[in-house]
Amino acid sequence: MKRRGQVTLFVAAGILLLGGFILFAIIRDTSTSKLEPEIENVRIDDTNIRNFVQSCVDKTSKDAVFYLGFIGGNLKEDAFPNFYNFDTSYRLPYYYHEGKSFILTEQEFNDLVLAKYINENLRECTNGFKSFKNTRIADNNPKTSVELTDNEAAFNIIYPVSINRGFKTRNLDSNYVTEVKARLKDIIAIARHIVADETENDRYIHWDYLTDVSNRNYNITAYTHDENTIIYRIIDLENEIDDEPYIFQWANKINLAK
Amino acid sequence: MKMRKADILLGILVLLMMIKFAYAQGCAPNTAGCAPNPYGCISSTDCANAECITSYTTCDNAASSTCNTEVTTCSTTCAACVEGCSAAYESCVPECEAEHQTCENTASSTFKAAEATCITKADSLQKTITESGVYGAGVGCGEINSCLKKVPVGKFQSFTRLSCQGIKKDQYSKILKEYGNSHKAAIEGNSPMTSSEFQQAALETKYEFQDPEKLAEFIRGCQGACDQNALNQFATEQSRTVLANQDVRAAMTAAKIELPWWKQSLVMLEVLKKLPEVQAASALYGAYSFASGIFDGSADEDPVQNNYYTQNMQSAQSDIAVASAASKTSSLGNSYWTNCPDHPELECAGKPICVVDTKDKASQCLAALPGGEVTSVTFSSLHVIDHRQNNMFTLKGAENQGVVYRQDGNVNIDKGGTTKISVAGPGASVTDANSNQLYIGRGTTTYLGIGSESPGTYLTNTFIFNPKSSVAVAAVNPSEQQKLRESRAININRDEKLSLTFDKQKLSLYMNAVDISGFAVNYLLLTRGFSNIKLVERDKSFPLASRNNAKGDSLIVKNKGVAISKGYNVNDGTYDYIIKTTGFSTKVFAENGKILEDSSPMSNEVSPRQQILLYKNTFT
Repeated sequence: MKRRGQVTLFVAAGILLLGGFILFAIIRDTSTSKLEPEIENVRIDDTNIRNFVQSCVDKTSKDAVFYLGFIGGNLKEDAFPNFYNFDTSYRLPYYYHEGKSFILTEQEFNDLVLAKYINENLRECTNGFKSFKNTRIADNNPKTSVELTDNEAAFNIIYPVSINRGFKTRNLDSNYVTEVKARLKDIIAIARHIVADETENDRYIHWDYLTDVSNRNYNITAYTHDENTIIYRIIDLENEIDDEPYIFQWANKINLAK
Repeated sequence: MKMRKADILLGILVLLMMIKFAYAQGCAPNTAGCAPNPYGCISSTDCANAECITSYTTCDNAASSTCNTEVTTCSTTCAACVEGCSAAYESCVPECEAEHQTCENTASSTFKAAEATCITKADSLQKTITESGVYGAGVGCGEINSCLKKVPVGKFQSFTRLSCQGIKKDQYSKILKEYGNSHKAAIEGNSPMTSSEFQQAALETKYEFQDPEKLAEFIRGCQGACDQNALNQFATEQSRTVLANQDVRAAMTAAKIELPWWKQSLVMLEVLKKLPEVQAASALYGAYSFASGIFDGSADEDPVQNNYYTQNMQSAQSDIAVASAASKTSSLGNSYWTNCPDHPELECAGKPICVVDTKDKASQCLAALPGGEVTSVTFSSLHVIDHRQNNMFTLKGAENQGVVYRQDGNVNIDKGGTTKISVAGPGASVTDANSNQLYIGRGTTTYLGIGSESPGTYLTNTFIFNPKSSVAVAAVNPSEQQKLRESRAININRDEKLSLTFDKQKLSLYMNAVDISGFAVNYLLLTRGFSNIKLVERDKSFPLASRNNAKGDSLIVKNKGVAISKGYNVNDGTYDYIIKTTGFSTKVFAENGKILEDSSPMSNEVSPRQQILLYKNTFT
């Protein structure tokens, strides 16, 4: 009695195993033949969207570097308290203002100007992904970190972008990296050197130092302006952004009322 | 026959007369007792001795004449007596003769008494004349010395007689002491200036001449014959107005008379009073104002630098005050007049119008200074003080021939020795022997000339503006130097003042130095150490600074847009720059050709890309 029962159990298990194998084979064959083109399309869209985001990252980073050099940044809230105004849009920050230094450290430039500009303006560039009309794309605020090397500004941006397809949501790789060719690290050091000298004694325009700088393939000039202001402009002759040499300029206000 | 009778009668008459004559011989007048006796008074050299003798002789002769008359009368009386004798002729005659003798004796006695009276009278006359102080022609020159000796106090009147030879020193001294103040013209007009006796008397009494020509004559007479020290002291006692006379100066020059500084200062003041006053051109004042404005000490400079300028000005003022006071005190040292050897000015060359400081040997021609009371000269070094400009030139060194004021008020300084220029007024305009014209600011600037350690160098603690190169340089305060001081291995003078040279094309061996050299295209500015420099245009200037290295000066903000008309190559020993105007602004070019500084604003033109980025919010 006991042995007959065991044989029956083994036969039943074999039948079930065989049936499962046949069913798996049928299903596998059906899936391969009907879903493959759709998956391909999804991959192309993701790449386009990511490329689009990357292009915005690239552009915004270049803009960030441009604005930092050209007008001290272009943020919703200014990073500097005083400006020399050519007009309402074209204005230079006072890094030195009547005895006080307002220039930032390299890290502060990275975090408070460059990264902040990316964070504030990247989504403006992606513009809600309106160019991708048939795709529901969601994004979140980017988080940016910047590192300056000898020859470039390296941006590392975490920008979460997700694509909704029906009941499915696809998250794009959120890490974006870009570099802007400019000797910003060196330029900031130059500016800080000049402002430090000004803070110690704003009487002098250190031709000797400016000469040394100019010998490193920069143009650096101190211009004379109203309001006791001297504007320094540094042009990096080794790097261009959008076919234009990189310009870094700021204002110093001399303290004549000592 | 008749004739014979007459002859007989005549013979009898003659016989009778012969008999009477024989008796009348006892009545003959004897005038021996009436003979005048000479009287020599006191002595032939005594005052009014001649007058005395004359008086006596006249008197004596008169008495003698009277005596003779009386003796004649006695004789006549005697003869009459004898003739009247008729009785006893022999006894009568002796009586007559006795009477006659008595008569003659009386006459003689009277004569003797008269002679005594004559002596008394003559002596009295002599005494009267002597004591009268009036010595006319009757008083010979040989007697004058005695007269002067004996004349009582206050009585002497015959100053013309001072011209007599033979008057002794003591008598001159007596007269000079007593009448030296009240009768100068008479004394000087009559006294023989070449008389050694008079010279000694004048020197001893330190007689003060009022007539410059006489003093000059006196000094010339004394030259070589009198003791030099006594002559110097004598000259010191003379009035400054007399000493200021050209003849006197010439005589003093020849006699090598030295005057104490204080006295010489006063004399020069008098000389300068008489010289024409140079009117400084109004343009010069304009230049002062302009030059002063270059380093105006107001907002252009920091307080420490301003204090430095102020202290230097006050120091210069103090120096001027001390030098001015030197003319009122007996400061040690002497000065003498000289004939301005090899002086470039016609008014000076070879003329006794130069004073020499015996201490520092520098000389100054007074004819080269403005007259009136514009300038004065004092000593303890030789100082030329300009009271109008409140400046002072202090001259040292035998090679230094002093300063020369030009008609426009500009002052030439000499190539030799050293000339320290103390400025407490608006400024000083000077030109050196190399035709470098300079405006010098308040403070002290010393020109080191030939014979000094660094010829052709200006050492200054203020600012100097050279119009030709349009460069103004200023010394920097020591505290600023301390902040940036760096040790240099070269052997240089550590004087903190600024050394300025022209056309050396190298720097003098001073810690702070600037050299300005002119070339066809650009001026060459060499700098070392500390200085403030301005490249000056009419209304503005381009400032730069030397702080070991040449640097721009942020005071350019006060001179925005300045476009200098000249070009400059600047070398600080390490870096070379070119400063010149291109376009409408002054630019500083590094050796690599890059523009380091621009006196004009940066262009605010932007590229299309920049425009888009800057104004995108405006466009959207």
